Amino acid sequence: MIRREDGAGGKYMTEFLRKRIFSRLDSRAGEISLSDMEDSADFDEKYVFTTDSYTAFPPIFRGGSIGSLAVCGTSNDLAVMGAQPAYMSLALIIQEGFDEGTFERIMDDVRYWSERIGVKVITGDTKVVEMNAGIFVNTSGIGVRNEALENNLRVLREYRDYPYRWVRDRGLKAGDAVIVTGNIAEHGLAMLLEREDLGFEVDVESDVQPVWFAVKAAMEVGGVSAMKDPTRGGVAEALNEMAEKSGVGILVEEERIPVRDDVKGVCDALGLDPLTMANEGKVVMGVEGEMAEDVLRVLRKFDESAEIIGYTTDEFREVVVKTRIGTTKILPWPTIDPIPRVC
Amino acid sequence: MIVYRITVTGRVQGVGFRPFIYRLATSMGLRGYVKNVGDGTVEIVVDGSAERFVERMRGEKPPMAVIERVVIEEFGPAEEFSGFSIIESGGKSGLFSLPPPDFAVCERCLKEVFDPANRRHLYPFTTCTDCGQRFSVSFRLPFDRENTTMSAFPLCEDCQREYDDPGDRRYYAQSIACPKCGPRYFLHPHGAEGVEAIRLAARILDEGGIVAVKGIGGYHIACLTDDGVVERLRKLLKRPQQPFAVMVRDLDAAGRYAHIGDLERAELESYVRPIVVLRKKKELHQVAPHLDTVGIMLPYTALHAILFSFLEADALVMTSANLPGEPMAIEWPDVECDAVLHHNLRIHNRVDDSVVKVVNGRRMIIRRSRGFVPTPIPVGVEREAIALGAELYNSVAVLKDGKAIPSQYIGNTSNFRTFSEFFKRAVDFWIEYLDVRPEYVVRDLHPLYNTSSYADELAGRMDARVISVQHHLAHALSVMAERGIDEAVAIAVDGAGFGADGTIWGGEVLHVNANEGVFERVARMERIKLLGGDLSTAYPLRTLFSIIYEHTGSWELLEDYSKYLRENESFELMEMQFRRNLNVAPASSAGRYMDAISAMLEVCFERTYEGEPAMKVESVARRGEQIYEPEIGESFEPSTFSFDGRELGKGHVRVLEFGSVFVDSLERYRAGEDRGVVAWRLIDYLAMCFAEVVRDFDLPVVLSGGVAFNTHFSRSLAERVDYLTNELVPAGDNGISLGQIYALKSLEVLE
Ligand SMILES: [Fe+3]
Ligand SMILES: [Mg+2]
Ligand SMILES: [Zn+2]
Ligand SMILES: [Zn+2]
Repeated sequence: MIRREDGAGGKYMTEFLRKRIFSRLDSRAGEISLSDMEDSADFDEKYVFTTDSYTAFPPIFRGGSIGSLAVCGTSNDLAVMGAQPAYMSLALIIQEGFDEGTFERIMDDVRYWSERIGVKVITGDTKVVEMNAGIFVNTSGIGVRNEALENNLRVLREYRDYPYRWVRDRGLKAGDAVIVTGNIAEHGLAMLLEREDLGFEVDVESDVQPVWFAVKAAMEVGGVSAMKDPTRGGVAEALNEMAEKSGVGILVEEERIPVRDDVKGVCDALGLDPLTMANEGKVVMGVEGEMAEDVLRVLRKFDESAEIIGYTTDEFREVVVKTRIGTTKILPWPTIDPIPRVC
Repeated sequence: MIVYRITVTGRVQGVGFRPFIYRLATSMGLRGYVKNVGDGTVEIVVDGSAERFVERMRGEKPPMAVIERVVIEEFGPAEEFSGFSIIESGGKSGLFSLPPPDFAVCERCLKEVFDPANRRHLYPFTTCTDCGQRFSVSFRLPFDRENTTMSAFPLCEDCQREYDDPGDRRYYAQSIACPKCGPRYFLHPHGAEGVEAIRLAARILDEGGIVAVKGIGGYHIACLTDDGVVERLRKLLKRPQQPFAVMVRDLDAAGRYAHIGDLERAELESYVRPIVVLRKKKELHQVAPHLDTVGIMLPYTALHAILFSFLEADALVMTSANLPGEPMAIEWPDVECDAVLHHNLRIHNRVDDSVVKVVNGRRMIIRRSRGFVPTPIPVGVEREAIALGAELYNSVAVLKDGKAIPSQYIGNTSNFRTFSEFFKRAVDFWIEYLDVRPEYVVRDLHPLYNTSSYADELAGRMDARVISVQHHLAHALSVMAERGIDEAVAIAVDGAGFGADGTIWGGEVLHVNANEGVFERVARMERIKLLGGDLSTAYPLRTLFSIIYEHTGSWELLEDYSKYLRENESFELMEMQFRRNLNVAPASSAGRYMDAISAMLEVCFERTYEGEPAMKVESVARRGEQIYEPEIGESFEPSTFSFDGRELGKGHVRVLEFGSVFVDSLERYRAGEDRGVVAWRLIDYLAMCFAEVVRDFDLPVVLSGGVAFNTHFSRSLAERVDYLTNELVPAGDNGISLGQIYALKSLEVLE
């Protein structure tokens, strides 16, 4: 039986994928293979490819819709490889009787964001089904090598060997700064408030947006060594994955994690950790230590809440949070439901 | 003349046993020899009077020695001995050459320390064969000076003479030192050394200063017990409420601060010299806020004695010099103090002060470390293994030669530094120290404990098998291991552990057969929805809300409590979270039951240290017991049970219901009933329910888990059933590694 955890990111999902999928399929066309579980994979020198399915409920929410998610999400998976989002497919599975006005809004968002990003939707598919599906959207995308990426790798290689052709999530090295490009947890919280109607007065909306422009600017400065798109599982999962794949530890200062006070307040009232909440327009970025301040300066032009949250180290392998009172705790891989551990 | 061979088993090595035998034999005019044997025994050969010799040996043995077994045999044809000698042992290392634990300084040494004519006058590292640091300085076996950090201090002529002379009380004592050759104290930043450093530290303390003091197993932080000074210490250590231990000058002083029973006095004065949890006599508000108990210990090194001799005050707060959850500092204190009294002897093994408490007439160990470690516990399982414990209050345990050796207290392994600098190093240390090649690495079932993933990693590295043991089963087995029991019905009561069904457990009755691997959940407490998971544990009002809301469908009864909500909390939001199951974890938990009482009775709304709500409830319940003086066997409410569906495919599980009792208690409390009485009744009710379940079994009853430390719960239970509980290891998670080891017993039988 397939469990909810199997599709929810984190350790369970990794295990599930290894056992059920990578054991049967694990191909590569370029340097990145399926089981590397990166945001995208390359299939020749010039292109990376990715796909993602979106099941957002409700389909229209504060700050966007499943349409904006589908276009921005897939573009962002390309962008964090250092690739410029260029082409996209769009596949729709719509429940019979789905509201037309809602559908219109979704498609308007698809058009709006694809034009903003400059990604062309060049192929697609539509199915109408009887089951209780609402609307599911799948987008695949192709990203292209670009000058900014070349510059980034050139700058980075002035400091160290970087054996990859793209920006990889395993690219961290001890001494890199870790940057989060803006306030976190807003998409996850906005969706929760939409779904649960908690009667809360918090003015928070989804942060869904393309990250490409910020990423491009950062790469034009250069020195970006690793990137991850902290969606499901949030920053906690992105950090753990990057640390594990890179074979380094990360020391994060709790104080420097950018999150709005009101967002933090709601999370705290519900026992949710902002670090595990989804984002749809942020990047967790590793930057060569000496370039970090320059990159941060540029990123702050896009979002002034961008922050260096910590540094990588080879003294340990865990993701460690230094708390406000000066103690240290290990930041675990996130789980979907809380599993109490305090005895 | 007949020659006898006497073989002595027990703690007879490293405790001055051979020189003692030497002196005894020579005084009786016997000839022969004594030697340490590689299997941990001592072999004595004497040419006559064996019976009389053994009698005197038992009567006059060195204080740290423990004689378990003596075998006397006739030993071949008469042999000519020229006198009595001590034969050097061939050094086979391992379990049997373990040093004794670190023991408190002895009376004879103290006498020398305060004798102006003695060469060790006011020397803080004065020890002898009967006392002093052992385990904390040992980095390799066997326990010889070159294998300890004392080896950095070569003996001077005088010390060497004592060390070599079988007639001297310091013969072959590995930890000896003197002012000429041994380690010394310094006072930072004052530059003072030796006795002056101690004298100056005492003055700073008397003037209200905060001084870090390096001791045997790590750094203490010391100050007067006055509220103002302690308040400053609380800010420094970021511990707003946690009770601090107090070291008092002597037993008389102890009696001025707390009530001391006979058993408690024996503990205070024992060689372990633990912190003993006692009933307060003085308010000591800042030292132990909102508690009617205080942890007290007596000086246990020559340094402490010297410090008190210079000090005007008769008591000092003595707590470990680290931030909450971090490992005790051994190299330099983690916090900025007015002065640091440090020394130049390296501490190899961190050992915290042990904590004991007399619960309902039995001594229970709350934290097992200095003075207890290393002490092997025979478990009758012939394997080599290591068990990694749970998460909070952790310890690990090694299995070798049929014995489990629980490590020192390690602490909170969700803390990074404790995990990497203490836990991981302790695992490596014990494996190497005892030369264990584990076939099994035992872990908790919890998927998120750092110790769980480390077990998987370690097993991979050591080519061992991983065995996951359910948390409460391990609690139960820890008692069974101590007693060598194979089958029992167990009451496992604590805060939270990962259950065999994937939910959180913590108030369980288990039927356990260690031989056959039977592990059956017979009963459990009703589940409480923990709103926000561990957030409920941090803020007990959330737990109370869940219980009341579950049973009344509203929070009307709690309206007056809205003033205790935190800034972002509201009962409306809790209701929503409850009804939508949003970020909610259901748990059967005796610990959370205690928490809910603490909120109901307005004694604790935030948990700032482990066990805080339960400890505060215990304090108010004691008052209730005194006011109410309930008749034994008289119950306040009939116990109520429901039945759960089949669990684990093994039959019905009885569910202990407490909702109506809670609602009723809340109403009574609001109507003005004394909070002590309300607390007492709720605790008594819980014990009564458990008693009723276990009475159905014709099996020994065992009790374990942190709630076993609750005096009222234990007493109420004891009034109704006979039970066994932990004595050698803690009933809390600090003792769970022993139970994990005992779980291997079923494998043993199966194969
Ligand atoms: Fe426990
Ligand atoms: Mg993706
Ligand atoms: Zn002594
Ligand atoms: Zn000397």
